[in-house]
Amino acid sequence: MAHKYLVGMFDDEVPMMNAIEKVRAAGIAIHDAVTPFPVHGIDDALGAKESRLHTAGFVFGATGTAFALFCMTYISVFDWPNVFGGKPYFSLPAWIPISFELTVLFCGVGTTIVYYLRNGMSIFNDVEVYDNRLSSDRFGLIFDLESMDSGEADRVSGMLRDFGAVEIKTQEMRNRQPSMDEQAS
Amino acid sequence: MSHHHSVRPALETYDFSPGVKKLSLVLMVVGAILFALGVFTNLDFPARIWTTLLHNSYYFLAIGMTAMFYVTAQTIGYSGWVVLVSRIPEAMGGSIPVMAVIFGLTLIFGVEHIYEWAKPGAIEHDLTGLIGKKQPFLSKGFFFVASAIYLVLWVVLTQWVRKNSYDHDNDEGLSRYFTAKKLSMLFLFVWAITSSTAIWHWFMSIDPHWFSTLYGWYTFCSAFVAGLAMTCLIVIHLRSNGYLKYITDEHIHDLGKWMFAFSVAWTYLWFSQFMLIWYANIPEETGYFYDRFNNYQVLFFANFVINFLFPFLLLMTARAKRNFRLVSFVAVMVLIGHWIDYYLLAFPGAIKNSHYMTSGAGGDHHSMLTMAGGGHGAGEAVQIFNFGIGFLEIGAAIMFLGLFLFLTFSALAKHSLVPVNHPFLRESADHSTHSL
Repeated sequence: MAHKYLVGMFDDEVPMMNAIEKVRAAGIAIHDAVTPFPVHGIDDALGAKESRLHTAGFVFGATGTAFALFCMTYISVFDWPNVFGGKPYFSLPAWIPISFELTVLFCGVGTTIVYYLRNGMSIFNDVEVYDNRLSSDRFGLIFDLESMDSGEADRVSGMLRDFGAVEIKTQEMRNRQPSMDEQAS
Repeated sequence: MSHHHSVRPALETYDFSPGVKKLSLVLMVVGAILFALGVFTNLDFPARIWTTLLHNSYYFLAIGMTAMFYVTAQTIGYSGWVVLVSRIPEAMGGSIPVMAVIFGLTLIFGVEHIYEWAKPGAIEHDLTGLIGKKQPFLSKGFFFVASAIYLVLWVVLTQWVRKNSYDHDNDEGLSRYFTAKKLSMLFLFVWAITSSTAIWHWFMSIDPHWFSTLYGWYTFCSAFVAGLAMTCLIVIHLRSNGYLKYITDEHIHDLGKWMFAFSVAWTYLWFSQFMLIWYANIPEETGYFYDRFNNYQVLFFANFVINFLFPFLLLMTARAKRNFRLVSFVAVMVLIGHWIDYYLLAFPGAIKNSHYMTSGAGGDHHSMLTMAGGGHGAGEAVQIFNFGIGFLEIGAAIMFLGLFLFLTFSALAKHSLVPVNHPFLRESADHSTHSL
């Protein structure tokens, strides 16, 4: 299902930040922004929704803790109780490091998987990029052309050019791409 | 939002506010009265009195020292955001000379009351022979020479760092900044070594048969969290009273992060020390926790709950670290919590030692035997292991807190609250993590 996007590319973050501010003030919805490195303050400028990724991280971490404690309790207390060095079967202090490690493991791996699933870059997705240079030396603002008529698209292009975009192009993608708010939730 | 609106913060003077001055003097007087009351009711237990002085004078000395550690570590780390905050820990460093003198005097006059190894005939009385084997480390000569070196180095280097920073206010250009970098390196090199070795002498040797390789880091972390908490409180106090107007939620957020992170670091070290000793179960090592767990159970668990669970749960979210009231509350709690931590480092050993040498009726080695048996020696009163926290300890804490605040705020009033010529000043005023 082909889907068209307008990609405005800047060669520096400063004009891009300025463009974001002006475009939003004009009431135009920005689909996404793609930059080669994290830009300070871009979340505020875009008015992006706060990501729920950290909530997922907490849930995965808590799952890891519970899983570790459950496994060790089942093995050392119920399934095969053994006395080691005179310690009780349920020797919690000795299990803290293992619980901690499994918390970190579950949290890290789970958060990474959710991150890729949500931003459409997992192995299950047909991954496409708006422009290769957006991971190199260009800062891109993406607009969804399916939701605007040609007159509005021309207006956005004109604004981007006025604010210093070095290249403006229409990119046809094979699939609809998730917007920044969809990636955050 | 606009990103280019900042102005360079200007020189800002602080007048020692009459309210704070009165508070610090009242604390000193009330504390001194309670302390005196405690002294008169504990004349039979000089170990308790001297350990109280050791505990409190070192705690507040360490708060000043870790404040200077904070400033110097940020200096060599090219940290920009902290510049507007830095005058507060620098002022806290102004209390170091007085605290060092009080602490030094406590060591000189209290040494035989606090340290088992310093009592006459300690080597002959020691059944394990370990005190003898730990010579010359556990001898008065070595102890006093080393202590003098530590204290002199600490006072000279910290005051030098402070003076250089204050002189920068009247000296444009970057030479003072580069001097600050060199002095910070020198101080951190000295502090990295002496913060560990000094605490071996002053606190770890209270339990002379026991040792822990984590002790230096663990006690440093404890004092560092207290130093950060005190910094947070003073910054928030000044900010709420109309000073430091360039300090925003962002700076408080970052100070909160430090307090949160180092509370976790403290817990990590506390638990690592506890777990390894618990697991290995070597009597020489477990004796330390046996005493604290059985005779100081409430404080033992309070230490963990206050210093870990409180900051961990209350300061976890970004919003909490920007809430001045919540940060202040946690800061007060961890200041009390780490005071308890240091209490637990010093008291159990010192109180046990005092019985060992003073109640001679049961024979020379009875304390080693009664320790496990609950103190039912022939014809003796039940041995006291825990005096608890009474007028003496609370009075001393209040007295030293008053003194610390007086010295810190006097130092604060002598210089600009803003290091006007620091090259990173604008960066600090612009500081934003855009996290909320």
